[in-house]
Amino acid sequence: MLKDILENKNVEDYLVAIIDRVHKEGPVVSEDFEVLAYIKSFYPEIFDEHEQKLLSVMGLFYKKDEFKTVLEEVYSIFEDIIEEKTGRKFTPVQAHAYINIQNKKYFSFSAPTSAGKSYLFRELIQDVDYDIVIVVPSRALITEYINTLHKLLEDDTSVLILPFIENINISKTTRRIFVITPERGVDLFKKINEFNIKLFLLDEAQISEDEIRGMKFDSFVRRIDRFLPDAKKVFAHPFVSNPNAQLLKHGFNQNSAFKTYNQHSVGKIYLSINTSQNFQYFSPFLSNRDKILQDASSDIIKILLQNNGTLLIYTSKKKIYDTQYLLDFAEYIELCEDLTDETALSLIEKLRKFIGASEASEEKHSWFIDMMKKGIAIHHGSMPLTARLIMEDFVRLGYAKICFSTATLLQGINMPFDVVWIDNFLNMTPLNLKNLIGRAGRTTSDKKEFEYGIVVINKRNISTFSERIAENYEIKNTSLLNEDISNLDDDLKDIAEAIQTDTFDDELKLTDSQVERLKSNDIMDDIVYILDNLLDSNNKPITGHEYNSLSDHFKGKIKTAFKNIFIQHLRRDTLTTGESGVLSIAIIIMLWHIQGKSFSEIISLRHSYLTHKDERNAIMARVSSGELNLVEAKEQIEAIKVSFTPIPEPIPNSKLNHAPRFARGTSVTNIDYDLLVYDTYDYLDKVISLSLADPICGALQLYYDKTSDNRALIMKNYVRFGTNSEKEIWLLRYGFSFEDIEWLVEIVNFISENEIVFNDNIEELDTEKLNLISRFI
Amino acid sequence: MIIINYKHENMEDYDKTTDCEVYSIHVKVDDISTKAKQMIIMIQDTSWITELDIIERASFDARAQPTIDKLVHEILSKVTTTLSDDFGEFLISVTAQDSLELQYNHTKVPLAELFKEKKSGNPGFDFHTETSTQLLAYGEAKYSGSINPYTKALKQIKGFLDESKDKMELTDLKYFTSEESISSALEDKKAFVAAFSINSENPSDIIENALSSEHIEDLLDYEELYIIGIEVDA
Repeated sequence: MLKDILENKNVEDYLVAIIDRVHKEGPVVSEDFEVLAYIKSFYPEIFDEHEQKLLSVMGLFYKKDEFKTVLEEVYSIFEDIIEEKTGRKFTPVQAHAYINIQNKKYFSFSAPTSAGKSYLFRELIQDVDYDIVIVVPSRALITEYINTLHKLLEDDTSVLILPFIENINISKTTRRIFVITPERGVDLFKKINEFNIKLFLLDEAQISEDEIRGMKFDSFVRRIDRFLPDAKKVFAHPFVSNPNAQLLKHGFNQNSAFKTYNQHSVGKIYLSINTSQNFQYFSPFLSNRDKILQDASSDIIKILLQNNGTLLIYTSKKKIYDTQYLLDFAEYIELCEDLTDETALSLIEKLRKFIGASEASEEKHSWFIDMMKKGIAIHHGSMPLTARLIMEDFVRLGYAKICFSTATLLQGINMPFDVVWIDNFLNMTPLNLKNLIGRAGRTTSDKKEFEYGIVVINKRNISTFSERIAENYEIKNTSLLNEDISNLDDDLKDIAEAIQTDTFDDELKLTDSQVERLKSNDIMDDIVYILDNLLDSNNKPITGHEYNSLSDHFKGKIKTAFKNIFIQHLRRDTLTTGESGVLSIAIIIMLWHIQGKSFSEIISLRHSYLTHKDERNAIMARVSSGELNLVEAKEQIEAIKVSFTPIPEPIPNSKLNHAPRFARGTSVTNIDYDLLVYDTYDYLDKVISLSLADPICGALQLYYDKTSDNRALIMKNYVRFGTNSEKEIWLLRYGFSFEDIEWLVEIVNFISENEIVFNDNIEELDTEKLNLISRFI
Repeated sequence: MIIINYKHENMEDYDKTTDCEVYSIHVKVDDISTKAKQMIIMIQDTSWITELDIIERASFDARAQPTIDKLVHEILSKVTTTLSDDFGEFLISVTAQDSLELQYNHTKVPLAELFKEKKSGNPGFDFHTETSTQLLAYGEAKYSGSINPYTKALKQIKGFLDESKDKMELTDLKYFTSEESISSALEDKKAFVAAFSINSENPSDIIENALSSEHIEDLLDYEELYIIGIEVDA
């Protein structure tokens, strides 16, 4: 069929036949949506004649405004009935899911990326009078949901929207929406009776297939069903062929339903590029011999960019880290002109300040800030969450012409592009691949037309690509909770066992066996040493300056004390060299965190340390005193090497190797500032927050329980929150970020679980700050 | 629907010599509203949305009434719109099928492609029946609110024959008709139907004009030919 189309044979007949098929079977045949994209692209006049009819039979009613044929009239009857029945302008797929969610207690479904699931969920959330819990796999998704909900419920500040479970702002709240990860779910059960939860939305529920997180997820699902048997549970997945598995594995067979939706809403054109940079059209649906269709213009992507098209390049973190991406895609980057839009520039400036980069090409120079100025966004998991959010706003507002991204974007962030270019095929699962392809082609209600996207892959990947696109992704019918864990890695056994046997301490966020080990007297001296030396006589943490002036012996002892506590909670009594290295650096960063340093301050401190700022200053001082000339100073400074710092990874992980973040021998003048930003965030996130905070806080709490030494609780607050001020901790529990605490403290008179009382100073706040607090005024 | 007149024609009356059996029917449609409903229900029945089971038949029927009224109004007011063209052609097709069934014992083949665009796409014949003599009959329906489009219908049939559309359709038709009619069709033994609307004070003149038309001649090489003139009335 495609060959004929490209040769202009029977184009209209094919188009009419596809519309007929869509009418009867629904928009479910992938090949058809490839052909439709070609017809629209190559024969726009023929396509135009039938376009409205196509939109009707696809059920994309939001794109229609008039009905010319009898067929369209009939579909408009469907549209009316759906609107009458659901009160909304839903597509048939959305309506089907909506009705099932209304009528059933358990509903599990899967739908492709562009099926409009977010719109469905928004509508579900909007006008109920009870509390809702939304579970998603990543913090990026939490933030995406929270932002959307804030916009959606802008006018109704009585709805409390929180990224964790807390019962706060009680006196001003009528209902609550919690958006959490499965890990944060454990906090729910302590307070479950304080809420009126009637709906659980478990989005991206294929997380149930992950080793440990999957167990946490399944365990959460079973517990909510035990505690709140009457609440609705809705499981949503992308491209899963057996959503019923979620119901089977928990025995949710009464009053339940499931459905796999395969409906397409956009067309796709597939392009390959070879090593000589030549593009060819290909079809993943044809047999190997016929896959390649014909050559495409070498300017196809350039022309698209020049016509305001947008390009997503899926690449590796490695290519972003070593800036190879700049060279590989230089000709496209060159096409992007400097942005002049004020909002865009203010977003860039906000991000620059957050990471503490310099304004021009000085020593703290950031590549990604440079790139943003040209409308090029970079998105990956080691980018600090705040930075990622600014970046996502930047993309969403349409400033990004090109976005380089890694797998993080696939975790469901709703950002479609005209072209998706897959430059990295490593570890590409069929699910990831489908998700990625799903980003190509935007569906907007403001465009009353059929839309299509372009997917570009390397020519050598054509056959793998075609195989994986055709593969079904199935989830297991049984829960990992019921499986034998003896094959699991030793480091995972504790947690796996605790989840299986329900011996997880929700309060301490540790397993019962870990709690037992931390009760040991062996670490009492270590805790006392930390309390005696890190808190001053007023029970405040010692300043960075005071810490630095301690001798290496004392600093070493403090670090060893933390290390001992960490080891104590493990099943083993030693750490590998790799783990030790990561732990040492993490402890230093944690100490800065305890001292209340902001993210940019921590980066600045690390930068000084890694690039031997004292040594460099000393050399420059010798220039001032006339001992050295500038050329000699330059030579001496260039000869200084960046200190060793290991790549941060969650611990324990006995397989961790001792790889340096900055290649050995890197001169301090060549340190990559962006890399330092990503690296520092990974330490704060993956190591301190995910690996260290729980055992250390647990040990401090247990020590307090035993000794009533109040300093342990104070130190626990510093580790957990970076502060011991009650007001500041409340502000953090209200969901404000550490970066904003400083100005918030000035405007808050009183804060408790019931409400925040602001003082008159809020009248002088700028709009951005005012927006941040508006839901609590 | 009322059959006003029907006749097994003697083509010598029109100065044509042929072995082809030629029949004419003059029909008046008076149940437009029923036909409009039939068309709408047919689309509804075949749609994937009905399959999803979220639309109850009763609420569909209730909601469909304004659309039915709109179709009837457009046909009766003789305006030319996409909607009246669409429905008009359906009206001609089903009326032709019904008349053939009633008068000459044909078996109807379900109308599947009724909503396909005919103006430019020309995908194929509008309707089919199987004659009592086990022949496949290929029908072309032409509607107009102002003229008597028999020439268009006859020329279209000829055009399709030249493009061998009849042969291409056999694959789909075999599911709905007897083996006998299919094998006859393979031997090029078949029937044709030209159905068209009549907008004239003297309908029988129009049918006679169609029978005398030069465009009929190529069709006389086949086994049977049906000329159906249809008056649309309130």
